[in-house]
Amino acid sequence: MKRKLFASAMTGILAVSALTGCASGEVTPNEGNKTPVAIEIPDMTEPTSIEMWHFMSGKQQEVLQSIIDEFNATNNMNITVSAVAQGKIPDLNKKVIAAEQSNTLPAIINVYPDLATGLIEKGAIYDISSFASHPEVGMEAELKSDFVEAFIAEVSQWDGKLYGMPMTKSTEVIYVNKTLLEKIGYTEADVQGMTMDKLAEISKAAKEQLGIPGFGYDSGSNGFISTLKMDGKNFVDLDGTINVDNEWVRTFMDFYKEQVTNGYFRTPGEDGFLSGPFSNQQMLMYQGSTAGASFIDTNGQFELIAVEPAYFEGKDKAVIQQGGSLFVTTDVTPQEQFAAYEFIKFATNTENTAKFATETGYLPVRKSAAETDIVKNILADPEAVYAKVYPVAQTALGYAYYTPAVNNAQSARSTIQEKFEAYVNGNITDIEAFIQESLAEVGTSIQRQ
Amino acid sequence: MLNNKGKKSYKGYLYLLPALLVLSVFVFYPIINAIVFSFDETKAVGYVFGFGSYKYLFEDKRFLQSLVNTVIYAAVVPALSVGLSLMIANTLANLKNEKLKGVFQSIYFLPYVTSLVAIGVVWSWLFNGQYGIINYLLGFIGIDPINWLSDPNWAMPALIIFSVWKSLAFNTLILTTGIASINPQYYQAAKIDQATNSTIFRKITIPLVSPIILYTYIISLIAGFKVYTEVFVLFNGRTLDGRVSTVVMYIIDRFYGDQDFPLAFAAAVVLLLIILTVTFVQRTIARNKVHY
Amino acid sequence: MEKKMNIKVALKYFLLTLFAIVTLFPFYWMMASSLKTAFEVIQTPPTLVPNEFMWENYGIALTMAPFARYFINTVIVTALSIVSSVIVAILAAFAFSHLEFKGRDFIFSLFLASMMIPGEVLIITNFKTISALRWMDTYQALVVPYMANVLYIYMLREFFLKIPKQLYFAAKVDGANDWKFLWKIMVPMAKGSIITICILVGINSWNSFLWPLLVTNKEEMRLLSNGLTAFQSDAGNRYELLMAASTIITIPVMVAYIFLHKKIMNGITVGGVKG
Repeated sequence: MKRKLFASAMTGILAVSALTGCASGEVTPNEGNKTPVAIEIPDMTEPTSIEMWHFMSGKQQEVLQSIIDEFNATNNMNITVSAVAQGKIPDLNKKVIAAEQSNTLPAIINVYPDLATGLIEKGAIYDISSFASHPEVGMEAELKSDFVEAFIAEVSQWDGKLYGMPMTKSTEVIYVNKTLLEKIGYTEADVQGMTMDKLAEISKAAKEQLGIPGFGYDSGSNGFISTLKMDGKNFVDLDGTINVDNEWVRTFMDFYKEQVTNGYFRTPGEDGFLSGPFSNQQMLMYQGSTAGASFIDTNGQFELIAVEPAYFEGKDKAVIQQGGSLFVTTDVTPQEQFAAYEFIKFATNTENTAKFATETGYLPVRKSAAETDIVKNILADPEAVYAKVYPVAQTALGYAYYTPAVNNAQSARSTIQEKFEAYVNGNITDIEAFIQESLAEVGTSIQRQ
Repeated sequence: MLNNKGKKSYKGYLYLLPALLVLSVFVFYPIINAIVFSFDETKAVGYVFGFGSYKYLFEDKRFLQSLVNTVIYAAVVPALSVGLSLMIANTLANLKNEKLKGVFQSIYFLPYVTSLVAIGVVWSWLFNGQYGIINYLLGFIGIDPINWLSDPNWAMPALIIFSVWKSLAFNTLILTTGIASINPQYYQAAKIDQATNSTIFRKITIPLVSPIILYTYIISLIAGFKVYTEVFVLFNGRTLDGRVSTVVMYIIDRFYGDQDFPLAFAAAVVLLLIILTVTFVQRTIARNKVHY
Repeated sequence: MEKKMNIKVALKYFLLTLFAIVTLFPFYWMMASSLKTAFEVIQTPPTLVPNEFMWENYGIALTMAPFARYFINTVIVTALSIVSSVIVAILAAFAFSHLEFKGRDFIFSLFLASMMIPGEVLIITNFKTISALRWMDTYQALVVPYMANVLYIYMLREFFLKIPKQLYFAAKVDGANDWKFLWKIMVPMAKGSIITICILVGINSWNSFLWPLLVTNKEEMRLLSNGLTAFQSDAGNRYELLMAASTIITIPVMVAYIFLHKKIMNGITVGGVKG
């Protein structure tokens, strides 16, 4: 607590001494929030060391490290960044929750926005808009014109502040086994921009001719939430309203259930990820994360293509964009916060985001990454899986939505994931029971305050 | 006399001091903390006393379902595991071939050695509904494939099989040690009386290792009520819509998933009370039957 | 009669062997999977024996995290844990089994009760304590909180209670004090169970995962189990590497167990002197 008070006092003083005036007019008093509107850049003559906690592993970690090494070697402000892998996402979350409790968060954390919401409410996340809008070190123009809008919208959804910067981002595409698709008499053109009815029709053909399911959502919760969004509804609104009790839910849940019952669609179930059955040619297509492409192994047996997610006739297209962003915390000094901002700026510049994305399977967070040689080269490689995914993902990002960062949205998501699977597989038989149970259980996470 | 007792008292505490110190800081203090904050009505900063979390808990269907699952698990797994371990340990004790005995003992202990993460993945493959080896073997005796990990009715049996497999190792080791420490004179006397193996088992082995049996049972029972990792690794985080959800899983979801500390603490306190009651009853019943 | 005995013995061996196979099979599967290609490991129907043995999986797995450093740490933490836990357990078990003092049974019940709360809810408070003590990234943070384990205190108490009280009184008559009696007579007699506890403590600290992750921020302070997450991500798992790393981690413990196993049994035979 002491540390926080100190940080609060420091930023307070800085805010008062800042020359630029208040930009946003009225500032609502927000307890625990020490975000100044404009800020003086801290004195960076002393060496500054900061830590970044993340959930990356393997190749991802390697690429991150190479970016960090370059930053440490080239920055002229004596900043040293060190990255600490904190296990998988749930492990990292536990660590962050524990560290927040004892005010020992590092300068940067790479977490999902829904975890960040809880931290923001507790005043643990620093609003970097003061740096981002600064005339000297800012990047306002790029934020507006170059960064992918959906990514920035997600991290600035809290009263218009900028609480993070996108890093490990992905969206979803449908992966198709082109070889099998042609075997059952369809072509690539049939699956481009297809409707749900078309998807169901092709899946039926796959079941009838090949005896395998045609389609499945790798993440049932994303499938559910995206389908809701096609009707313009959020699964959970920012104010905590849960939108599962409506006619559209009844309609599409029965649609999915019928497909699964007939064996046209399937759920991952015990397989965990559909990349397994898909690689084994035991399903024709599946909708999954762009970051999961490297887990598909065609084993030289079939040709893989990626297409945009299907949509319901008469509804909007909708696909989720998701992933972790980089957040700066309030448990560190203003120098460290500024150092963190500088590093984030570096890590998300055009070259680095292109490099990071192409080597990890995540998506570049800037549109200008498409102009870099790294991206151009990989797109020219007909063998690269990334080359098949990237253009489709770029189109999909045009209409991608983000889920409102409601506190505990992750629990709400795993609840709806289980409910979705249970209903389409016939373990919950009554749609009203599905709706009531979902409301109650999601409510435990969202509405109990 | 009084003096002597006072001195003794002081001495006992001296021996207990290291344990007391560590437990006070790292166990008792956090438990008290948990109890205090389970009555906190506010999730934010500050403290407002109330029973809201407990009330919510007993109206929460998912919690009640988790509680039922946990009770079923705790009723089945410890009994099954200790019973089987006792039979194995006794059979091993009667083996004449010392070398083979050692080999078997080492093999049976293996499940305790490995971390659950990898072995849980392996078991989920073995249980696979379509390609699992277990269904393949069942096919030989004419049993149709079972969707162990997807069919809500078979999920609990699958969990129980995996858990018993995993927990046998510890119990067998402890019981083997217990049986081996029985004075051989008892057995020699029994042999002279021409007692059969099963009589020896019932009349000598069981009574003499009864404290150890009770120990393994109580420990298994407590572990059974706290089951979590087994479920998590076998079902890869799924609960089949609550069919294999357990109390600790509920606690962890509330704690780390929702950061709803009061509700998580309240659930932990309820679990603590249940285990306390059950073990107290067990120990009271057993007290008359256990020989020291 | 003779024939009946033979059938019985044969049946006994048959069941023990069958059970050994059931126990071993998952481990066989783990090792077989560790030698498969990324595709073969998820291939359906699965292969019982790898098509070709990918020994390089082990090399790849080992480069994905600083396993050598993890190994050293794990050995240090395991050794410290064994020594400290066993001493604490011996002292406490002796107090509970042979000394009489006010509140003994109450404290024992309190100890037992402390096992009944899931450790997960204690972790954050303990994290705060470690943080307040400034113990982050230290060995004591990894060892001290788990030094007093009621599981082992209780176990040792049961074994101590089995040692005849007459011995204690006889020693007292001979002028030995409690301290001397404990270390000169009790401990050697309970050698088997003490080694058992060493093994159990050792394995638990060898496999501990969440706590080391929470109280360390430096790679140099992490343990082997933390390395296993290097093969798991939110988008998929590299099962063959996970299996390879798990196999490597299991082997030292297994070797140590086989080595110590004999000692347990010898320790016990020495212990069973008198009833």
